[in-house]
Amino acid sequence: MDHSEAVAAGMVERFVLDELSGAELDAFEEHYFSCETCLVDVKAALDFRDAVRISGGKLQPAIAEPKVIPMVPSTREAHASGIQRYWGAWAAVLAVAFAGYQSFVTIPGLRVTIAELRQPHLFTGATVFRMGNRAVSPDSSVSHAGQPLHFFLELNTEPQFREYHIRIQPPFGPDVVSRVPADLAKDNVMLVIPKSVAGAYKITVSGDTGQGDPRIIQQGEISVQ
Amino acid sequence: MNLNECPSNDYLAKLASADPATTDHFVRHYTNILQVKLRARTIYGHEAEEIRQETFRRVLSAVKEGKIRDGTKLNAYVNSTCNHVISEHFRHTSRLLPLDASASWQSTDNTEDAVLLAEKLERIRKVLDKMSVRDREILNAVFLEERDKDAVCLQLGVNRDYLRVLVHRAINSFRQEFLQ
Repeated sequence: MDHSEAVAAGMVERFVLDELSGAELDAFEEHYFSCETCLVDVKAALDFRDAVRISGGKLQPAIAEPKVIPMVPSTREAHASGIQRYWGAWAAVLAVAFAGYQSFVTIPGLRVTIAELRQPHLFTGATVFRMGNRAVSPDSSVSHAGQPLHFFLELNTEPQFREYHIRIQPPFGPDVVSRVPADLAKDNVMLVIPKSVAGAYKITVSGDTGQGDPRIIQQGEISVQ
Repeated sequence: MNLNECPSNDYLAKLASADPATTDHFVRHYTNILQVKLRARTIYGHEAEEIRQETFRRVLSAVKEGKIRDGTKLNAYVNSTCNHVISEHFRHTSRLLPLDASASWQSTDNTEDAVLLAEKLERIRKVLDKMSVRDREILNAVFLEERDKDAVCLQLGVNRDYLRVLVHRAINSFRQEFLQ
């Protein structure tokens, strides 16, 4: 691979995005071993990647200046509208409508949901999900989108860890992180997804020695179709 | 030998005869390159140092034993040796990588490094500020949250080519910020 081929194939971007196959990766690495331009580009790309990572939520964009809307003197004479004139009556009507909606729609709906949750349930199909290490991420595929899913996660416990952090990255929405003390992690940990959505649920397990240096020990992915 | 040249057979011969200046050059030259390679795989600190040292030991030993005769193959040999050392290392240590790999990059007791880091962060904030909300979301999802790239593209309605272009633009802007 020469420099023009590397540029044409967007190798630096694909390298930092971890998109290169084994053969492509070897070829590109051998190339930047003897190409100063590409090596500098790769360094810049890694600087950028690492800076985004360490920034976390701290590097939010600067807060925009509030928009100043110039006040234009009105040439019209002020007239109180119907809403302004009868605001008390409108407020009372809205309050009654809101209370009615809560009483006849929201609260009965919640009561039904709570009652359903209090009923005993029989869950079927809970399987043991054996995760790999950081380098190998086995996939498990299920086809129950919209249904509750139950998995037992088999953790690779190690004596030096005081607790384990289990991070679940759903296909959409925020990540969920649970902490499991070491003594409870000896048994399989149950993962419940009350209402699954189609997509990949990434699971990352990190061990924490209590010294503030949690390390990833297992990763896996559950694909829901 | 500079970075844009392949090592010559003469260089290899000097390395095989343990010429101090050539050996010193070899170590400095490949330390810089292997640092980038290992960083790309989020391997930092003493773990990176161990892998680098073991790679040098094996390569220098192979050169002395005459296993490499063509200087132009030295780069490929160093690269593949390093790949072997990495895979052996992780097989033995059950792959214990930092949870936040960048934490090692971030942690520094050196005041000068801390100032450089702060400056770097400020510059990257400027780069991100210039981007649209969606582009920032994409970069955060890919690099910070390390989410599946196809899922991110699908969710935010872009394709993989757009992702590459976005990264390309971001890196260029980042570099421009440093050149200013």
